[in-house]
Amino acid sequence: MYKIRFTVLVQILLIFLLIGKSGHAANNSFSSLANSYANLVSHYYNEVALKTEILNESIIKFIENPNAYNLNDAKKRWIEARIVYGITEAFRFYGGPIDGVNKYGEEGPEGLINAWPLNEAYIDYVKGNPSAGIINDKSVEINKETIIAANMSEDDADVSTGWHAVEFLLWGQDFSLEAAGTREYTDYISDNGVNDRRRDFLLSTSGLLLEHLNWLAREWEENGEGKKAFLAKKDPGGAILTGIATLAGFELSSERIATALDSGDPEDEHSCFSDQTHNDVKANFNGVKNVYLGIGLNGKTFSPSVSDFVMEKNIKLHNSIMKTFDNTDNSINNITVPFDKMLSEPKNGPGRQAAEKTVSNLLILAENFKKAGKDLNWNVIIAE
Amino acid sequence: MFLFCATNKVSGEELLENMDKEISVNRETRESFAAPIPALSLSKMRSFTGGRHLFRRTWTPAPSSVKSLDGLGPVFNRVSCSGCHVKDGRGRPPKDDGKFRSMVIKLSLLKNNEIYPDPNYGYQLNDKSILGVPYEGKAKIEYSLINIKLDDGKIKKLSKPNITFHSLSFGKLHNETKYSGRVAPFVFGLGLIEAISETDILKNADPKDLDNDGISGRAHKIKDIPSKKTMIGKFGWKATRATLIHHITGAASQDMGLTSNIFPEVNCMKIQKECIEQIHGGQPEISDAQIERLLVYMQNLAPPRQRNIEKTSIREGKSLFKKIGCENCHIASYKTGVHPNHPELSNRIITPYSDFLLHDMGEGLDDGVNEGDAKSYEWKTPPLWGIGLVKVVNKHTHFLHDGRAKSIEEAILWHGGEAQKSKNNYKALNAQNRKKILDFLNSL
Repeated sequence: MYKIRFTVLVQILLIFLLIGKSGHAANNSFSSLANSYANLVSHYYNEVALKTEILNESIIKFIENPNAYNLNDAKKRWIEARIVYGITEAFRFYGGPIDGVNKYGEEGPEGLINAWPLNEAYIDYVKGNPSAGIINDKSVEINKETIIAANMSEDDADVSTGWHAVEFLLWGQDFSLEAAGTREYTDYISDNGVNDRRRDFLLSTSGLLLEHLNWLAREWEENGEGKKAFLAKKDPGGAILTGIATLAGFELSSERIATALDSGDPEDEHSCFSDQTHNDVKANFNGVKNVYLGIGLNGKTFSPSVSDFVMEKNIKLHNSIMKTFDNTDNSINNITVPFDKMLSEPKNGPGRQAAEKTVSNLLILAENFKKAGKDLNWNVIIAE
Repeated sequence: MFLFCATNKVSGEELLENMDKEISVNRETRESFAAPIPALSLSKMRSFTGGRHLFRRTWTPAPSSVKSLDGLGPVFNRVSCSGCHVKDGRGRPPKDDGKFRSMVIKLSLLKNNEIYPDPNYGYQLNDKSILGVPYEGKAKIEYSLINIKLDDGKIKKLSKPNITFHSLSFGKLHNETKYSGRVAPFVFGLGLIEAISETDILKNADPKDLDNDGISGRAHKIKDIPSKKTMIGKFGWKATRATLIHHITGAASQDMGLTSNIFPEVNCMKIQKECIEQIHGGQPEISDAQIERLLVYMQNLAPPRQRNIEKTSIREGKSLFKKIGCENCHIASYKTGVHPNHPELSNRIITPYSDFLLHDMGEGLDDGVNEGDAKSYEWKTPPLWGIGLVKVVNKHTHFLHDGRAKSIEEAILWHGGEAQKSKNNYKALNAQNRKKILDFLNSL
C-alpha cells in the first residue's frame, strides 16, 4: 500500500516536473523543435539552390546566345529564385551559417549574397559616366576571385557580388517610375572589349551566387556542420524567434521599408533595378510567417513549430500574432507596385499609407515575438 | 595624475567582464561594429536604420535626379561616410597602389599662436573633385624604418611616414603649413562617450602634474559650434569636438564637401574659382533631418564587449597592462551620466579604455599640426575598445592617427612623452608577458 502510494507520488511528481520545467507537453520538446526547424531551413535552402541553378543555366545560355528572349528568360529566373531567397532571410540574425562564424573561423556568406545598397557605378557604366566601374577598368582582371576580393573592400556600397549585382547586370539602372531598368541585350554581344568583360562579370558573379547558396544548402543537410551546430544549441527557440523578430522588426520594417519612406528616394527601394521590391517584402514576410507556423512549399508542414509552443503557453498572444499576420498581409497587398512609384506618392497617398501600416504591423509582430520569448523563457534579441 | 577613486569610476578588475549587456554586443564578424545597442527601442530603430542607410549611400554632384543626395564636393575625399569608416570601423593608410581611401591629410598654419588654414588648400587636402572642377592635389606617403631594441635584445622595426605632395592645382602649400595624415576612426560607442560627464573626465586631469607621476593629462576645452558653449572635447584625434553633431557636420563639410546648417559655407578656398562657381546642391546640402538620422545611428552603435575573458593569459595580460601604467591614461571604465537624447545610454557601465584627455606623446608622434588648443605633440588618449576586432572588421591592423603602426605592438612602441615610462616598462617585459598584454588588447 505504502509502496504503491509512493510510486504514484513519484509519477505525479515526474509529471509536474516535466510540465513545470519545460512549460509544455513532452511531445513539444526542444530537440523536436530544433529538428523540425532545421528540416524547414534545409527544405528552403535546397529550393533556392535549385532555383538559382536554373537562373545560372539561363545566364550561361544568354551569354552563349545574347538576345532579347534569353535576357528575358534570365530575368524571369532571377525573380523566381529571389522570391525563395527572401523567405530564407528568416534564418538570419542569430549567428547561423548564413551570417555567423563557424568553428573554422569562416564567416557566413550573407555579405556576398545580399549586400545592399549597391553603388552601381562600382560595377559598370551609369548615366553620366560611360566608363565607370570594374567592367570598364581594364587594369582589373575579371574572375571569381577578383570579384570576391572587390566586394565591399573599400566601401560598404561597393558591392560586386550577390543578388543585386546580378540584378543590375541584367536590368541596368531604372529611371522610370512605371517600369524597371531597360538594359539592352546588346551589352552582352561579344566585342573583344568591354562587353566581353561584362559577359565574364555576369557569369562569374552568377556562378558565385550559386556556389554560396549551394554551400548554405549543404550546411543544413543531414550531418551538415550548420545543422549540427544548430541542434547543439541550448536555446534553439530563442535563436528561431530572434531570426524572425529581427527580420520583421528591424531589417524589413526599418532598413527596407521605412528608410525608403523617410528619404522618398526611388533608389532606396531594395530591388531598385528590377522593380521587384514588392516581392522582396512579401517574401520576407512569408519567411517570418512560415517559420512561426512551420510551413514549407507546396503544402509541406514542419511540426512542431514555434507557434505550437506559443499556443500552449499563451493562446491570447498566439491569436494576436495570427491577427497581425492577417493585417500585415492586407497592408502589404495595398502597397503600390512598383515600390518606387509608391515612394513618389504624397504623404497621405494610399500606397504610402499601406507601407506605413506594414511597418507598424511588423513592429507589432516583433514585439509579440519578444513577448513570446519572455513567456517561454527563450532569449530573443533584436539587434542586427 | 590623481588616481583617487572617483564615485563614478569603477575599478578595472571588477569590470573585466562587466560592460552593460544592454548597450554592448559580442560577436566576431565583419559586422562586429555595426550593431545597434540591444536596449534601442523598436521605434528608434527606424531612425537608426535610416541613418545607417544614409551612412552608406553615395552622394552625387548637383544637380542630380536624387535631390536628397546631391551636393557632393565640389572638392572632396570620399563620396560616402562608409567610404572611410568602412563597416563602421577604422581606416588605413594607402595600400601599395598609393590611393587614399580612408585617410586624409590635415593642414595647419600656425601664425602668432593662432591656427589658420593653408591659404590655397584649407584645413584638409581634398584629393578628388566633381567634373569640371580641379581637385586640390595628391599626396604620397613613404616610410623610413627605425629600429627599436627591446630589453631582451630583440629588434623591432617601426615605420616613420614622410608625406609629399604632387599634382597640386593651386601651387605650393604655404611655406609654414604643416601637414599630417589622419585615418578614419571607428564610429561605434560614440553616444556612450557623449554621455560621460565632464566631471568624470576632469577627475582624471592633472594638467600641472601635481602628483609628480610624469603624466599631466588635460581636458581640451573647445567651442562647440552647434550649442555655442565651451565644452570638453571628446571626439577627434586631438579632442577637438565635444558633441557628435559638431563632429559629423564637420566631417561632412571637410571630407565630402557637404554644407549643413552648422557649416553653411562651401568648402572652397578663395583661389579655387571653379569650386566656388559650381552649382551647389541646395542650402543646406545635408538637411537637418538627415543629420538627425545619422546622429541616432552613430549614437546608438554598440561597442563590442571584451572576448575570451575566461582565458588566464588574457586576465594576466590585463593585470600587466595596469601594472606597467597603461591604465593611468587608458582608463578602463566609466558609468555614463545622462544622455540628453537617449535615456538608453544613461547610467551604463562602459569600458572604453580612455581618459579623453590630451597628453604630450613625445617627439616621435609630434606631427607639427596644432588643432584648437592642442599642440602638435599632444594627442587624446584614443579609446581601445574594439581594437582587437579591427583585423576582423577592416582586415588590417594599422593603428595610431596616421596608421603608421602596423600592429598593436608597434603602436605601443611609438608611445613617448608622458607615456615613455610605461613604454619602457613594456620593453623590459619578457616575450611571454609582452604577448599576454597583446592578447589582452586583442580581446577588447
